[in-house]
Amino acid sequence: MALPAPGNPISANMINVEATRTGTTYAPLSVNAVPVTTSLVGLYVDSGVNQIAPHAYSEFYSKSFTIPPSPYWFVDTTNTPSIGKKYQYSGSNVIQNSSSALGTNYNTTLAAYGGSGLTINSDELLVSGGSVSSSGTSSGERHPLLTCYDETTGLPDISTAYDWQGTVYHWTSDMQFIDGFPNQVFWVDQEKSYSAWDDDGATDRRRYGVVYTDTTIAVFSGSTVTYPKLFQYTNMVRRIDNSTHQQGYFYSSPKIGTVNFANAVSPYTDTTKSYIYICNQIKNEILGDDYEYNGGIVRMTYEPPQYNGGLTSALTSPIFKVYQQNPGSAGSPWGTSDMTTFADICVLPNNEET
Amino acid sequence: MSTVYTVGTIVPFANANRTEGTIVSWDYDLVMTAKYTMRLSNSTGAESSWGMNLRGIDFGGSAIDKVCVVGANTLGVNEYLNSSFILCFDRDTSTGVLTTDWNKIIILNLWNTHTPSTTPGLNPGWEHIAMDENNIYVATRGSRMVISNNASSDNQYTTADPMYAAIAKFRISDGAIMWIKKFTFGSSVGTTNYAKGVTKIALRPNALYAQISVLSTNAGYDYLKINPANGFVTGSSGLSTSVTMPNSSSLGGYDIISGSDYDLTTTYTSGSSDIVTVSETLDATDLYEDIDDQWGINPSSDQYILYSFDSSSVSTSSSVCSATINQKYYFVGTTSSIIVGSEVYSDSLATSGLTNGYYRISSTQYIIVSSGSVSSINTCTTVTSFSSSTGTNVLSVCALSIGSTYYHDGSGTYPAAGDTVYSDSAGTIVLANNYYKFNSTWAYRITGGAGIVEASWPQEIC
Repeated sequence: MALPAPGNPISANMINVEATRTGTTYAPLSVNAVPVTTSLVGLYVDSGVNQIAPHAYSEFYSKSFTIPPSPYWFVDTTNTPSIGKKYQYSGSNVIQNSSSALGTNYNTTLAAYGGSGLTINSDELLVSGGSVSSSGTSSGERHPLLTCYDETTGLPDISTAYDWQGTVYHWTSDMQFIDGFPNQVFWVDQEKSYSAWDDDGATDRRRYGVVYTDTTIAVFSGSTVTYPKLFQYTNMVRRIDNSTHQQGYFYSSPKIGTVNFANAVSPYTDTTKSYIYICNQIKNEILGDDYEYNGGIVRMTYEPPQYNGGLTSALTSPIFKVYQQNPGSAGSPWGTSDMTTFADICVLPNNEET
Repeated sequence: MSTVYTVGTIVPFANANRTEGTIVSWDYDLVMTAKYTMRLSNSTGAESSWGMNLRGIDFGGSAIDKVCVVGANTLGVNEYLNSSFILCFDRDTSTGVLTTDWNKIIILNLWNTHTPSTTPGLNPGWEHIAMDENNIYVATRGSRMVISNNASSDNQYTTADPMYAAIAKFRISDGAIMWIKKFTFGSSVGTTNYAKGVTKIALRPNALYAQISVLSTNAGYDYLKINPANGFVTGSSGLSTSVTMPNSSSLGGYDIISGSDYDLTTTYTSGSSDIVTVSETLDATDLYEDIDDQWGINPSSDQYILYSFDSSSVSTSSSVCSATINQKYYFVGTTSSIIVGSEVYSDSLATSGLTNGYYRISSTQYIIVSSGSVSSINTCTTVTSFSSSTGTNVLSVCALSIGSTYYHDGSGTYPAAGDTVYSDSAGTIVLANNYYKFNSTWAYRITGGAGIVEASWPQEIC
């Protein structure tokens, strides 16, 4: 169960065997100053072998191999009252305001209006979507929620909820790291009218935002302020407000695709911008009830602005199209054609054009 | 050139008794380039068409140029969306036109075995898809889509608790199933606050991530980090557990519908049609610069990881403390320390629970395993063996012979007042209350129910 004690012969073969590998497995000592995981030193990371260079076989004397913990896991989060606090300015920082804790009636919503969405970048930074309810899960407002996780541990790093005005249910539907901008996440809100008002399966407004997964620095009232990760700058969030072509939500949840033209393949050569596409169900209030639901797609242009809360919008130039081909009500067992929709989208990288 | 693909569902004509899948392709400037419709029917033709709702689409990269879609389908006119559908296309690199390659209909017997139309069942179709250049990863939500327009439901999904979902891996080249896992989220059957199941997946080279919604008090949003090679992920009973689904028509298995039992008809129409262009602006929102409209949320979290520990093989109460530690076993924990309640396994994929019994885990400790988890962690007691009679009442003890070997934790040759006396060398089974003798004249009395020699004993009574 243990390698030889000091003073005895020791070999890579013996170290391999102790680690339950075939003795003749290729076994470099460390490869790099920071040992690679398949090297002998890297393999014994949880076995007490010194991981700091220079390395030596003598460091394996008397060691027993311990299998590192599985890198695959289940992260279970809990939001106990009080769930969080409102942000406030404090000197040169934005911090949670201990005097403005959210009441115990706030919780994360997992039911019908719970959020969704998950995206990860090449640094293994994970971001997920959700929603927060202000009054349990059966009434009250819902607020979209974003959470990013520590790249190394996988545990929640920071979560932020956004309080839109008015009594409308909001939840994060989808988000994606923007192609070409690996620390910027585009997210899309889904809304549902308050049930006492117009619970007809569609809303006029839909909101889109971009947040940074890093802390950011901007000028507020003449002072330089550090803002937390996932802070939503007002010039980086926009909405479409259309009372005719509404956002439907029967059998539909908006989805995102993005593309950046880093490869500058003609005619798409502007590497400073990305196109963002959102597909979802559209309800046309002018059409008859049997025909009103169809699939829609929006493209907008994203260009990182100065995130200073200023007037320059990061999201511009919308193109909005509806694939309007609903032929009318369906027969048994469907009865309705309201399931007519776009449900998902994929956008090919720019280099696929070649 | 088609570079953007949207997938969804249509009704092919008024009063049709089926839905069809659709893909609409676009160029980067949102000029529609083509539309595709996918119709399923059994071998008797159009009058027996089946319904299909497509839910997800992805692209596998330029090395293979495949676009694949997933969704749910019925297996008849009046059936429910209880089957899962996956279809892969070859993509022409010069035009972006898609041509069908392979498809599979699979019944995921998560909730029920396949039932006729009069019984809805709850088995779902695929909802999510993520591809790399070699494989396709797909996931269901938590249960089936409903065939009704009910604003109070969850985007037309049924909900229940506990909730079952499936996550699977297919080989892109031929559609071979690499693995399918059944997941159970939550544990108790409730009436409100249902979870959604899997709400999104995201793929990296060495991990498949799945966001899940698991019901529990003050629950937050959870996720799984899954080994894409074999579907392994650590779980926790009552929150999230997984098991490999066999190819079986039984509950918990999956059934592949033979390709000869149905027809897939794909139509392709190039060009733009049925498009309405909406003049639109992007407006500022009512999220003010007053930053108290943004809230920092502070979830707590537990991370369940599979840790290894050194152990003996399964042993008995009498021999565990002398057993040799020569095995590597595994436990699920939120820290690297094994605790009472830890689920314990004999393999690194957490597929085989340890059998009931005693396991020595250090020079001084052993665990007792019951029903796959640690029921207690115990200290090996240093004991001294001695010869003794069995136990009886005070009037009979002197007549007994000395034919048993017992063990005490005292410092002497024989037990003294206050010492604990055991019938096993591991020091796990204490002697019952009674009188015993350890030689021809001296006896000792056990009282209190914990094997302890009563004060003032032993006494020379024989």
